[in-house]
This record gives sequence, C-alpha cells and structure tokens, in this order.
Amino acid sequence: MNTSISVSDLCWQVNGQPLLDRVSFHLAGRGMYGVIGPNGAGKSSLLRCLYRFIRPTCGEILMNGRPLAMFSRREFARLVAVVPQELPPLFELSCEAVVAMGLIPHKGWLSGNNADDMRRINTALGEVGLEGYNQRPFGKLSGGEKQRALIARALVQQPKILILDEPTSHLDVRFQIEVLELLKRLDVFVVCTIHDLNLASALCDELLLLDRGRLVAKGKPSEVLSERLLGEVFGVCCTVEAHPQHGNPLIHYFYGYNGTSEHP
Amino acid sequence: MRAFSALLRPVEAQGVLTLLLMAACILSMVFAGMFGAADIGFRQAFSVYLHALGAPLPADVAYLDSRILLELRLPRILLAFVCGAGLALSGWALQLVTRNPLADPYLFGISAGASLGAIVVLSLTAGVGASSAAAAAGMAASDSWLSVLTLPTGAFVGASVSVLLVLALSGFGLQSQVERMLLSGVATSFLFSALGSLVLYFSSPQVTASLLFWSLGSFARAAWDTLMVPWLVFGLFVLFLLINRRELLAMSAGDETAHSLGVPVARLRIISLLMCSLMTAVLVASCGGIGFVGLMIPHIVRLMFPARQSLMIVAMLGGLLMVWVDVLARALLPSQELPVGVITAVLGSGFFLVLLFGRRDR
Repeated sequence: MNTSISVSDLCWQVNGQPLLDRVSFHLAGRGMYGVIGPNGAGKSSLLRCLYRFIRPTCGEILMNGRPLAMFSRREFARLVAVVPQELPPLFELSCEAVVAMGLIPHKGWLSGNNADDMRRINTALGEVGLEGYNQRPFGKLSGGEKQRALIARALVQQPKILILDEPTSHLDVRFQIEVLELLKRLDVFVVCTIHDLNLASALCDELLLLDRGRLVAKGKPSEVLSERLLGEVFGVCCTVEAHPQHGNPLIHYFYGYNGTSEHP
Repeated sequence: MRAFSALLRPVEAQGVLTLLLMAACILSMVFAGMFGAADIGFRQAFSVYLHALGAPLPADVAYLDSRILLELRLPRILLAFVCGAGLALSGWALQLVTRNPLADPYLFGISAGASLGAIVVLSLTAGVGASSAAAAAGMAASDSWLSVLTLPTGAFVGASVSVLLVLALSGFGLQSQVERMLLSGVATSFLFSALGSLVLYFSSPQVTASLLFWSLGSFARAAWDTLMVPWLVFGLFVLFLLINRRELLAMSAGDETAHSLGVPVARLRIISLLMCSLMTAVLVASCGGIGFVGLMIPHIVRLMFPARQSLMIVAMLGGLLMVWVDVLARALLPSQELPVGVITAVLGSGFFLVLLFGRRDR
C-alpha cells in the first residue's frame, strides 16, 4: 500500500491563540516533503500534530487512510519515526545504546538484543556513515555525528514515514547537504522542516509553505519559491533564478533593511 | 593486552563484570560475617553457610558461632544488601525518569514523610508507655513491643502520604510533568519536615533521641522475619525495571523521543515514581533514612562503566557498598556501633568532591 498523509482543517490553539489555522493538504507516495516558513509559523507544531505529540484542537489527520487515534502506540511507532530538534543532555550512553532505542517498538518484555538486532543497528550506523561508532559515548560526538546517530536510531525503528524537525540546524554546509542527501537516498517517506530555503529547493520534492499557522502554498519548489511569495511571507527582497545544477529555484537575497541600501 | 580486550566483546565484558560482582557479593557475605563481638574465621563462616545450604557442620565450628552467624549476622548482611541495592536502583531509575542527575530516592519528600510518621508513632508510644513502668528507662520506650510493631509502619505510612501528595499536586498530564513533580516534591518535603519539627518540639527528649537514632540509619533491627517484606518488594521492583529498562532509557532522551518510540511517557513516569517510592518507603521503614547511596551509586556506575547501564551492576554495587559500610559501622569503634547514615554521608561528600575536582582537571 502506498504511504500517504492527509490533513484536513487542522487547528491547534493555545490559550485562544491559533498556532495552526485550518491547515489541509494531502501527501502521497515516497518522497521528500519540506515544511518551510518564518519563525513561529507553526512548522514544529504541525510536525508534533503529525507524530501525535500534541492533540489538535480540531481537524483530522489520516495516515495511510487511517485516523491517527486508531493506531496503538506500538503500531504508530512502527509506522512513524521522529528525529526531534533538540535532545536533553544524555547520560553517558554509547552511540549503540542510543541507536538501539529504535528497537523498542519491535521488542517484547524482557527480550534482549539478538544477533539480528545487532546487524540492524550496525547496518543503520553504516548507512549514516558511522561504522564502528558503537561504543563511542554519544555525548562526545560532534553535532553532525549526533544528528546522524539519531537518524540511525530512526532507521532501526524501520518506519514507513520519517519526520524530522530541523535536521540541518547546527550543521555546517557540508553536513547539511550530506544529511539531506542521506534522507533522500533512504527511500522512505520523509517530512522535515528546513530553514535554509536554497537547501529545501535543491533537495525536496515538494514544499509546504506556512505563515502564521496557515498553509500558504504547496507544490514543487519552483511553484512555491516565487519572489512574490517570499516577499510576502518572509518579508525579504530577493530574485529567483534556476540553479545551474538542478534547475530548481536559487534565491539571491538583497541586504540592508534599514533603508541604507537600494531596493530593486 | 589489545588482543585480550578485543576478545572481551562489550556484551561478554558486561557478562564478565556481572559475574565478578556476583562473586564479590558472595565473598562479601562471608567476610562481613567475620566481623563482630564473637571471633569467627573465614573458613568457619564459609562452612556455616554451606551448612545452612544442607552440608554437614564440621566438628571445629562451635554451634554457638553458627547460631550467631545465621541468626544475627546474616539477616543483618542481607538487610544491608537489599537496602543498598534498592536505594541505588531507585536513584538510578529516578535519575533517568526525571532526567535530573541529582535525583535521589528521597526526592519526593519520602524521608520527610517517613520521619513525620516515625515521630508521630514515637510520640504516641512514648505517651502510652509513660504510664507503664517500662518507659521509666527512657530509651526503652523505643524498644518496647509496641514501637517495634509500629515504627516501621508509621514511617511507611508517612512516606506513602508524602508521595501521594506529590502526585496529587503535580497532576497526571504530560505538560512539564518533571518540573511540577520536582517542585511539589520540594514543597511536600518542607511541609512535612516543618510538621515533624513541630511535633518533635512538643515531645519528650527521649522521643528526640530515638528519632535521631532511627533517622541516622541502622541495620541492628535485622531479623529473618523483618527481611521478607524488603526482599519481596525488591524482587518486584527489579522485575519492573527489567521489563521497562528500554523505555526508561528512552525517557532519558526526552519526552518527545520516548513518545515517538511508543513509550507511554506520562503513565510510565508515574508508575516508576510509585515503584521507586514503594521500594524506598519499605527500606526507610526498616532501616531509617540512609542518604547518598541512591545518588552516588548510579553516578559511580556511569563513571566507571560508561555506556554500560546494566541495572544488575547498579544493584550489586549498591548492595556491596552498604554491606561494607555496615561492617565499618560495626568495626570502627571497639565497643560501639556507628550510625550507617553518617558513614554514607562522609563517603558521599568525599565522592562529590572527587567528582568536582576530577571534572575540573579535564
């Protein structure tokens, strides 16, 4: 069965303040879906609704045609894996122990890690380029390595849908590209929030543009990243041209918002 | 050397470590049995234990010695062990569940609640005893059958009330659950120690002395029939932790992460708190409020065996430490017992100073 997420009229309010306002969309088929928007647009809130961490005030979310509330905890954890934006400082856990957490939805009471599980852990570590990191303390890894170890943990979970909140924050340019290319290569259904619009343009199949809790645009990067929309939503001046490598939009920003330099 | 460490793959290394610790536990039971007023040698102690398991008693072991060992010292060693192991595991679990490295078993007002319960019981029994001739000898009040029957019960009830109050104050939702638990724990703690001080202020000096003796911790009350409850609860507690060990570890990685792995975060946190509290309350009731072990052992395990958070290692190390602290308490002064709580507190503060200066050097 094809993986799909459909969201209809999703609202979430905190103290009467709408953080998500009647968001509706349908995503189907393997692909990489980027959620973009300015700070406070509701990107993280949307993801949290998708992985059931917060219960929306109204609206409905279906995954593979089934309402979210119909999944048991275990079923849901086998369908959806999450890489959250921030982790609390972990106690002295090894990389392997962190990755092994992904086994939880597949393990019964008292069962230990068998050879099959170890293979899965090692394959996942290999896939994110951390072979042999098993016994390294997780706390001593660099930002990029931590991010990749967390993705390995999500892979061990064997999900159909992978949700990531800002997987590229705290990473330098090379690791930003590496992590996103890794996600693209994995051939799972990926939904992630991305701050860097040029990165989103280059590597996402479709983009969802949020502004103050509303879905403003959805479509291919070339459809969403227009000079007009970027100006309206982000309040920046820019020109958009085709990227020489992949042909998707490449955004050039204009600087100087204190009226000192010339606007086009 | 390198070939050797390559041989010891991590999993097997953990197995070896566990086996070594088990051996240390058994040897410690024998060694700890040698200390005390009556002189019993290692070989004799060993053969008495074998005798208890069914082997014939050798001719050179006095019958009296074997009785002393089996009726007085062994229950005491077993109580010390279960106390150390239970407190260490309780601290370990609470540190994971609250993501607070300073969490210890008394975090939620348990010791204040238990003290209040103990004070109330001591005051009541002292009041009852005052009319009887037995209480004329002061401290004797706390040794009467009435108090033996109710001091642990009072402490247990007090501890339970404080934990239930913390839970009622912090609610059952997931939103900032940890913070609310910690703050209600602090509030409950202060409230109960204030109440305790108030009752103490109006009671007799004897009650104060008995309370001090009780709160510093001692295994002197150990006997076979009082061992049952702590060990039973300990068994349940270990089973609970074994079943939930993956989930508890996942909770240390944050509520969102644990939630996305299918862990019922809010519910598991409350159940863990209740289990830890039950274990701690039973221990406080039977041997007083012994501090620092629950805080220290999880940190020692993390420092000594990083990345290897086996709960068996935590439990055995905690138990071993307590057995030897009790040996020190019995052996340091020639004709007097030191309070166990004083020794653990000294060890604990020393440990944190080492930790502090160790960190600075890095």
